Amino acid sequence: MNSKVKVKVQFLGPFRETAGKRQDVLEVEPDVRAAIAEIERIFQLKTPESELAPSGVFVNGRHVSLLSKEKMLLKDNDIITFMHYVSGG
Amino acid sequence: MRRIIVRKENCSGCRSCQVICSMHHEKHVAPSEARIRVKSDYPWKEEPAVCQQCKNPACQRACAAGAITAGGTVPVIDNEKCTRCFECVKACPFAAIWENGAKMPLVCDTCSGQYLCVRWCQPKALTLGEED
Amino acid sequence: MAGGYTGKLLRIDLGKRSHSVENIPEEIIKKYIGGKGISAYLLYKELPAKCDPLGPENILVFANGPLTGTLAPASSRVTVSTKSPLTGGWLDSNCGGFWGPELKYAGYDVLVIAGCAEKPTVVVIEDETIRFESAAELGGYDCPKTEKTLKEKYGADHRVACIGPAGENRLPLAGIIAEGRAFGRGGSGAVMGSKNLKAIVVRGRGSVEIARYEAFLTANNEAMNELTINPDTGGSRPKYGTNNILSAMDVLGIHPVHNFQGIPWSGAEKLNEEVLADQYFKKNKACFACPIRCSKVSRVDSGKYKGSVVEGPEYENVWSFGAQCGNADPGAVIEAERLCDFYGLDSISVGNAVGFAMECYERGLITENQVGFALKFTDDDAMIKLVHLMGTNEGFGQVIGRGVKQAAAIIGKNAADFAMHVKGMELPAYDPRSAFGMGLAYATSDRGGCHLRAFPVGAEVLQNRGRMDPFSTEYKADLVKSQQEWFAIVDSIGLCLFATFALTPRQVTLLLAGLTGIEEFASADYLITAGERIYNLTRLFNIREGFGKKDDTLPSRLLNEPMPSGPAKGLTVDLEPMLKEYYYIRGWDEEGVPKKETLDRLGLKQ
Repeated sequence: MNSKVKVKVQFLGPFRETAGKRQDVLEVEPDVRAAIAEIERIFQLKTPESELAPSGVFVNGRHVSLLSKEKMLLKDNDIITFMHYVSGG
Repeated sequence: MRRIIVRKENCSGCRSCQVICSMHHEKHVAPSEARIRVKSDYPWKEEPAVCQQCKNPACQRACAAGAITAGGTVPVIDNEKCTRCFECVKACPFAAIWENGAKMPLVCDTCSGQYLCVRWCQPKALTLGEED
Repeated sequence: MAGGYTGKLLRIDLGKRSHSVENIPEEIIKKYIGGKGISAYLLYKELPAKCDPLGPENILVFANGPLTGTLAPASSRVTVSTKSPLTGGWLDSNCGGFWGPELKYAGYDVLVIAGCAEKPTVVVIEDETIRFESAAELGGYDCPKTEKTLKEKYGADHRVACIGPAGENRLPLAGIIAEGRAFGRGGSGAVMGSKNLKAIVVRGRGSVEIARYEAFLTANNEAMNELTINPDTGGSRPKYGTNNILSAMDVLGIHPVHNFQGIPWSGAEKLNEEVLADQYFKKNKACFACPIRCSKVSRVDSGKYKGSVVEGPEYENVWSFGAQCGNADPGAVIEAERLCDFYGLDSISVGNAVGFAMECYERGLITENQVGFALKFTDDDAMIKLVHLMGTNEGFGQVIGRGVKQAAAIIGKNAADFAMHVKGMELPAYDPRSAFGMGLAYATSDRGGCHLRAFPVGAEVLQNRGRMDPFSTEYKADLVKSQQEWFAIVDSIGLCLFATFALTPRQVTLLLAGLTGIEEFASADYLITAGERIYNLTRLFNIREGFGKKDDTLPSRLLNEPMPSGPAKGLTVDLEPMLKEYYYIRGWDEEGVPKKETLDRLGLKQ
């Protein structure tokens, strides 16, 4: 049975305004996809604007589409980051 | 009566207002020919100066030649009557009239009501309002 | 003359105290555009090979682009180009603010400064009137004091570009400061100092002509819209300035820590864009005609650095005086950046060098006796002290102020192993072990370790279409090549790079073609080919100065020391395959020399 894991969630860029905070600690399903859906639901992150603008979800700094099979399961203390497109500095 | 409201605390000093003003009037870019100008004192002060359409305009009173018609509007200067004495330039409490060589002094004419500087001011240091 | 350009090049000979004005041929403008491009053409033609960068033969070229000083968004930019005293190779450095536009209104697209003045000199340009004035009373003046004095003397609306004590001392890390903005990198300030040129004061009462008024206005309306709705140029950048990427870089493991040692960075909670915006940014500031207003005026209101004011801090300084040195106090970052503007120093190189010195100290390669004080990571007092010593060229500042490559040679032992530079220019705020393409960008940048020739990081980690892997070598050569060409154009037309984040190449061509009326500029392909030409020309310049494949490399730390933590844990940069592919698609041979057919296609001669 997959018990929940405790992860840190970070909101960067416009996600900060939508979520109302910079970060939080949550208990989520270990499956990455399920966890992301849950976080999006709780913080109402899926706005019409966020649909149009390029953005990504990262686990421990790695984009979800690039995670290897093992890393698709979250562990305690993992960090999930919601990030918008970054141009240069 | 509408006029340009200046919120200098919002002014970033970019001078897009001077650019679009000179473009509209002269069809080229020449900030030194603008009818709105930003005065800076680095780094804290950026102050746009533009005609405030005074009800009792000092420019009109200062004009010995009677060349200026104003009062609750932007001043209209009669080119024939203007002697280029520039007393209006000195008199304006907003420093919003400028010498222009041998030509008539420069002052806002609202771009025929378009107020282009307001449209181009991104940080909203310039807005249109009815304030007294 | 086409719109946008004045068509005039002002030549100044400091030794003879003379000047002349030339017309710029239209075919040169069509081929090299302006800014960086026209400077590369002039310097490759006129600069003697292998000259001493701090000697009388070196030439300083200031060049506007056609869009400089117009309605186009963020059209503030002017370049300075020369042979770099830091790297010994090509240098082009560009500056925002208001000095470039003023030079254009004075009537000049290009200003070429040759020779050395016999005594410290200020050049004053007021439209067609050129004067050579004594700078005797300004000797040793910091940049703000120099500006204030000159504006009081000549006029509040006169624009000043000057050097501070660092440039007067010919420090390779000296830049040229233009009222809070800077020609920062590569030592252009030292070249100015070697010419005994303290400042260039400009006042222009002229105009910039527009070839197709309605087309230009329409293109500007479109551009204005794009910049406003873009979440970066219309959202995070006005709010946080260049620090809008700070947290992201930290999360992605790209923000270098303690001289690129790659250890976890604990300072993000205290030193991040939210804290800066909440507690330190007091005012938004824009460069000429810029709606983004990314610049900030910051002030420290409490603590050790209370009262310190700076135009900034920028992401690069927040790194170079932050994680690079282990400092998490925003006040210290602000004070350090203020000192760089004060002394006239490149804040990226200076911060990188301080971090390098800290590592040397912690490894026992330098001692407290040599430095004059302890110099450990996290010690902000020591960081500030060392910046002062570099600014005044005193004590250990005389060693570290030479830049990390030369300092490592002086310090000896294995210091060179962690001197983080490419071709002598200190690396900026991106660790390429976490984004391999950035490694290729650093290795193939024409002026050395720089993030502004190509910036693949954004595309590598978060691309609009498709997905790229920052830890892969695939597609990076193509990405870096195309960005180098496009950025070379951006640096040649007078626009700030940030405006182009919101614009497609097509939208830029509409601005250019409407302004200039030059048909060729209506084609994005034409412009990109010009960018390719310009990038090959600076390559030829560097080859002539003795650079080659051996210099297209990275510091050994990035190639050989695996990242100890973060998403890139265990990785080093796999440069070789990317470099090989890069040379191939560039049409260069295996030694990185442009092939004859490439040069012929671009209309260049070796």
